[in-house]
Order: sequence, then C-alpha cells, then structure tokens
Amino acid sequence: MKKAIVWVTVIAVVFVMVSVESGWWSPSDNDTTIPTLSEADGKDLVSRLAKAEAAQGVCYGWVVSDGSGDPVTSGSSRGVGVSADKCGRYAILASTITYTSESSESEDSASVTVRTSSGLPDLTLSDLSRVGVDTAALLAEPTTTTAYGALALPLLLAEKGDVAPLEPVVATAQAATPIGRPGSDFAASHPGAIIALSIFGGAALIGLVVGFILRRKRGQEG
Amino acid sequence: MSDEPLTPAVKKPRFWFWTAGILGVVAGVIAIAVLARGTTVRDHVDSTYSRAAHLDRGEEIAFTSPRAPSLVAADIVGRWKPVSQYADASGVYLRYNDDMVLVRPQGTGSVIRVDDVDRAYRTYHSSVGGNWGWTSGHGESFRGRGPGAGK
Repeated sequence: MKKAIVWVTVIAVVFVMVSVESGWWSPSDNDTTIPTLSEADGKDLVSRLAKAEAAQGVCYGWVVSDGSGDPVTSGSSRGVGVSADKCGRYAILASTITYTSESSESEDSASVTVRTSSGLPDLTLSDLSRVGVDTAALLAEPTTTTAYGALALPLLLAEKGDVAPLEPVVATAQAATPIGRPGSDFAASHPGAIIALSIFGGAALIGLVVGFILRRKRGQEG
Repeated sequence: MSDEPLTPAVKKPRFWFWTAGILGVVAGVIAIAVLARGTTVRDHVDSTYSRAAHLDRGEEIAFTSPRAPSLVAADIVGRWKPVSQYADASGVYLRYNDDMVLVRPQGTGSVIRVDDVDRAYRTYHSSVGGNWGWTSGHGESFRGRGPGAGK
C-alpha cells in the first residue's frame, strides 16, 4: 500500500510539472482582437527604422493584418500608416493573424512574409525564425513580434551583403532605471534536466530513508 | 501500516539501498552531463566560439564565428534561453540574468561580445531602450495578447 502511495505521489508530481511546463493550464479566452501599437510605441518604432533607412538607403516597414486581410497596424521608417513601398528600395514585414473564438472548430493561425523591392534579396521564413519571428511568437504576441521582426530586417539584409550594418549606439548618460535580474538562466534553459534530477534524486533519497527505517526496525526486532 | 504481505526483497534494507544507489548514480550522470556543458551562457560561448582577445573592450570579452550573426544568435538562444532579445541594424542583443551577449556582423561572420548585464545595459541602453526587449520576451512596450492567449 505504501509503495502504491509513493508511486501515485511521484506520478502526480511529474504530471503537474509537465502540465505546467507545457502550458496546459494556461487560460484561454474568447477575445479575438489583435492588439495595435500605442502612439508612443509607433513613434519609437518609426524612429528606430528611420535611423536604419538613413544609413542604408532602404525603407523598412511593417503591416499586421487580421484574417479578413484588413490592416490592424502598419507603417514604415517614414511614419505610422505610411507604406514603405513608396520608396525605391524597401523591405516590409507583413503578418496575417487569425484568432478564432473558443467555440470555433478552427484553430488560430498566423503567416508572415517579407516583401522586398526589386534588387533586394528575398528574406525567407528561415531567416525570420532566426530573429524570433515564427508562427508561435506571432500567435502569442502578433504586434510585438511583427515590430521586432521589422527592426531586424536591416540586420538580415546586411547579412546578405546588400547593405552595411550599423555601429551600436553607445550611451553617454546613465540608464534611467537599473536592469533587474528576474530569475535563473540555468533553470530557464535546463527545465528537463532539473525535473529529471529532482525525480531521480528525490527517489534516491526516499529509497535511502526507507532502507534506514527498515534496518532500524530489523535491529529492534532482532 | 498495511496488512498486505510484502515481497521479501522489498522488506530488505539492502534492496532499498541498492535502489537508492542506482537512482543516485543516474542523477549523478545527469548532473555531470549538464554541468560539463557549463552553468552559464558565458561558459557556452567560451567553449563554442573562438576567443578574440584583440577585440576585447575593457571588461567586454570578444569571440568570433565564421557564421552570420542571426545564425550564431539562434544557436545561443537554442542552448541558453535569454530573458529577452532584441535585433536591429547593429546586431542581436541577448539579455541574460547575469550576462549580456551581443552578436555583431563582422565581414561575413560575427563577433560575439559578452559582458556583465548591468555594465552592458549602461553601455547599450540607448540601443535597446528602457523597455525595449529588456523586460519581457520582446519587451513590454508593445502590448500583445501574451503567451497562452491563443488557442
């Protein structure tokens, strides 16, 4: 009976750890709205893309569309709502997100592509995934992912040899707020190893305790 | 206490000590295998890429790779999950709890710079911004639905 309790406890702990890790208990919702950019965020994005355009001579832009094809947010290094294809050389990150309600049988979906002017190389999904732009990221944070993908376009084009990379901006003034340290890199990068170590180490400890208890019992009986 | 009869082996302390020993060895092998690969992203970079001391800048130590920055960054992110990442025309900035890794283009390859995260933030906060890429997966400036919001 004791053995059964131990095994049921171990299995329950493993199940809980795996389910938490896999996000099975994450809350889902019926909100199918795709978030847009705030005014401040849009200006910040435009200003960063404008620096790349000034240095590289390529306009960079973004478009996030919903399932019906209507743009939710768009803009470029020339301004929020201004399309980059007005320039001679441009690269635009375009994503389409379709959120479905809880009751729908269809799944949420996302697609992304980069439209470039003639003379610039094609940027593929593989290129984008290397800078964190993939279906999973788009579904989780569509606007953020698209915006960050647009910011990475100048680097991806630089890697193809078509434009020159920029030098990092080195700060001359102190940062307004110090940066925090929100957790452990080791734990975040090795969850499987930590779970396995906990299971095997914990089971070994239980075995030792049971062994000592039985030996003590035997000593008392003898 | 159960009335169910136990098998003789389970009654013996030696069975439990052997079981504990075997499980302990397995745990030890897992621990050694994990620790041998390093306990920080700095260890990973140090053991994976070529050291380039002539490119050091103060406390910021440099390494090189013949591969493009986005490939190098993807490799590092695949092994060591950053708190957040940010890429722009100057390179890929990976923020970890203790260190920052900056992967910059150099010719057709990359130069990889590693520094203490606080010192690096003081140096590069103009690039990565107050919130940009430094407080959540992609930063909190943009408000997405958040992980797990979809179906």
